[in-house]
Formats: sequence, C-alpha cells, structure tokens
Amino acid sequence: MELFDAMAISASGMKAQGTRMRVISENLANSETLANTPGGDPYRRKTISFANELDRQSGVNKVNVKQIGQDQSDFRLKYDPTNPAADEKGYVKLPNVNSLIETMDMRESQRSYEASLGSIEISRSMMMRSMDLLRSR
Amino acid sequence: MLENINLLNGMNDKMAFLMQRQRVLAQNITNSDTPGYRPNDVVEPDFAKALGRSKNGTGVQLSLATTEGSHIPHLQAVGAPQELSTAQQRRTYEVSPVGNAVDLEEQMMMSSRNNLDYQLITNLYNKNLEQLRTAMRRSGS
Repeated sequence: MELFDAMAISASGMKAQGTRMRVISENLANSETLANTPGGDPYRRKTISFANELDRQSGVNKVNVKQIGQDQSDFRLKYDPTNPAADEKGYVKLPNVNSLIETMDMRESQRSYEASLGSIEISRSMMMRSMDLLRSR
Repeated sequence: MLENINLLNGMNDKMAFLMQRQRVLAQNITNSDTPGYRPNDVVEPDFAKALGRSKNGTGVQLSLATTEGSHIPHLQAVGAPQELSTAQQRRTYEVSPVGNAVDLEEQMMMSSRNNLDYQLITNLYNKNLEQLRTAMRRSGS
C-alpha cells in the first residue's frame, strides 16, 4: 500500500538524520580532544553526506548515508608550551571543529527530522480516514 | 441513484492519486538534504474523464440494456482506471549549492493540502454510502 511505503520512506529519512545527529555530537564532544603525542594531530572533524537509493523491494527512493568522511581543513594553532601535546616550538594543534557550524547543522537536522515526522503523521491520518470508512456503518 | 456507484469509482481513483502523491511527497521531504536531488510530483489525471465526462462534455458512455419499461437506465463510463505517472517538479523555488531543489515548506504545505483533500473525499464517500443506504433501507423500519 502506498501509505505504508510513504511511512517507510519517512522513517529512512529520520534514520539518516539520526546518524547525522550522531556525527554532529561526536564532533561537538571531541571539540577539545588533543593529540596523544607532542606535535601530533588532534581530532579531525567528521562530515556526513546522504544519497538517495532505490529500494528494489518496494521500488521507492529512500535516503541513505553515503559516507562519513573527514574534514581536511587546517587545524587551529595555539601557543601553549606547557601542554603535553605541544610541539617543540610550543604550539598545540586544536581540532578543526567549529561549534557554531555544528550547532547550525544540528538545527537543520532537527528541522528535517521534524518534517519527516510530520509527513508520517499525515500518512497516518490518511490511513485512519480510510479505516473510518469501514467503521461508519 | 445508480450513477452514484460510478461516482464511487471516481472517488476511488482520486484516493489512489492522493495516496500516491503522499508517497512522492514523503520521498521529497526525506530527501531534503540529499545532494543533487530534485523533487517529484504526481501528474494529476483527468478526473472528469473517470466520471465519464471529458472536459468538453462529451465522453464515452455505455448503458445497460433495458428490456422492460420499468428498468432504470444506467450509464456506465468506459475507461480503465487512470494510470498515474510521476514527473519531476519543474518549477522550484530555489536550488541549494549542492544541487538540492527541495523546498521543505512547500512540500509540507502540499502534503497538508493533500491530507485535507483526502479528508474531503472520504467524507464525500461516506455521504454517498449513506445515500445508498437510505435508498436501500426498508420502509417503515
């Protein structure tokens, strides 16, 4: 039935947004994670991208996580000679996580999630209407 | 009165259309963050044709044979159930830098209008069944 397909599609979208949320919280949680060795690289920000994918069983275009990649932008440098992660010149590499960007991303993810949820609500209410046709005798 | 059954068929077509559309809209909303995705929409079939009337008022209709004077003539529209096709939505508000053209607000609005249309049709369907039941009810009960 079409409406069950619609719900499955929305659910796949919510799942993808959930994975995105996971990546964002990983980035935020590790925004202060430094290297273990002096002069080493700290935590590198992760990125996520989606792709739509044909589900051959039901013939619908669902959304899926295409890949979780790494942000190759430069690390920020901070002068802190007493830090164990500092290199010989006294500079510490900080993760390339910008909490503002992550927060905005989180909001966007939340909105998309809510939209999918609203879509499920509508599918559900249409289904209920169909069932009401049987009930009103 | 028997034309009503014809009408019920037409409503069936409309409900199938609305369900299919809901599926396509869910797909659009779900893919609102997918790079390169362009929204789709279901092409609205000619519902007048489904009811045996084309837009200019002429349509193919078959009638049941009436072999006795007391038979009620019944007109039956000819035509298979309408085929639904999905097409890419041509007019979109904006395309994001990654090539996604889904406008979430627009899709939500279409979705809720879809829901209202569906409610309208199911209500009409109910009213029609009620009419039929009224006609079938035994007198005096």
